[in-house]
Amino acid sequence: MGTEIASKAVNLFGPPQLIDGEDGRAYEQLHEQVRLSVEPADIFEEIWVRDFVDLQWEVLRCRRLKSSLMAASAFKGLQKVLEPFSFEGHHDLVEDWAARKPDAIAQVNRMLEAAGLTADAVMAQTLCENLEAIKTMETMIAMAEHRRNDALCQIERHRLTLAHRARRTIQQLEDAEHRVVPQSKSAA
Amino acid sequence: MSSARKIAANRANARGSTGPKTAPGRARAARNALRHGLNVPIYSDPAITEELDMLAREIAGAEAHAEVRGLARGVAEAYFDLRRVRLARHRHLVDALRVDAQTEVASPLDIGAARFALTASQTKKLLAMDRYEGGARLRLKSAIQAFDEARNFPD
Repeated sequence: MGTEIASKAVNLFGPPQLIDGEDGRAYEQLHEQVRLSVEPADIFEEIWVRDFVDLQWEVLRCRRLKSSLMAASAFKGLQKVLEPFSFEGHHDLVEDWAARKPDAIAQVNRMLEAAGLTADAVMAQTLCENLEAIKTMETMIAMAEHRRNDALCQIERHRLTLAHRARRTIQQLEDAEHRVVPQSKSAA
Repeated sequence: MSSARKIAANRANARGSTGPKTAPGRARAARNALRHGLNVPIYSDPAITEELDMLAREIAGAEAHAEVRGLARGVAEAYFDLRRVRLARHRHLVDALRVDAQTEVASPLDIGAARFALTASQTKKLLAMDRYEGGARLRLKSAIQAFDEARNFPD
């Protein structure tokens, strides 16, 4: 597809839907990379390519949100893990740990080690704390992945239709070239 | 494959499921389409008429006959319908992820987590919009397939 049609298509499909903190240039880069590898041949393929890119962006966004949620709520997991120790200043330690203060991190590491635990225990508790939210995000990721893959299937289906049409055109051209050759008397 | 008995039972049950029967129920159902406007036909939105026409012309091509132009219009409408659903869902997600003065948090540490978590009602709305998106995608796929078939078998 020519650059002119491609730029028209980009205008027709509207601007990308980004949330705070997302990089518009990264989106454009992804779109361009997918376009280069798929090489959309017409407006329909441009539609599905844009659909694919939007959905891939959504998958990446949900995965990022999921890991950000885990990181931002890790203090809850630590609170749970430290509960059996229940000592004075327990909450301050968690707050300092969340603020990434080196002394607090070292103290937490010592406590975990003494209890035979690792950071995995904190993340496991964090996962339990956010199980519903994580489940929702996983559902959203699965839906977006399914639709993204379907966009590729639609391009394949459309290309098959185009190929069928091209074959039919060639056949019509070849049929038009065939003529009945009159037989000579000697051959008869 | 479903048996004839199963099909008959499904049809009979479906005839019984005609939506809300009480007056308040009917009134509530009547407002469904107005909540987010996603059930309103896309061609009735004057703001996008020009864009819609442009896409339909781009799809049909310069020398298309009336039937192809009509099918191209169908593809353009289905596409804009999908775009509208996506935009509504996106706006909802942006609102859901916004942390402001109204956001209820137990401690200042929770603000960070609230930035990435969705409440149950927000999740429900997002998943409901996913269903709209599924329907809109299906309409787009059908419209493109109909267009392809008409172009492939013009008779």
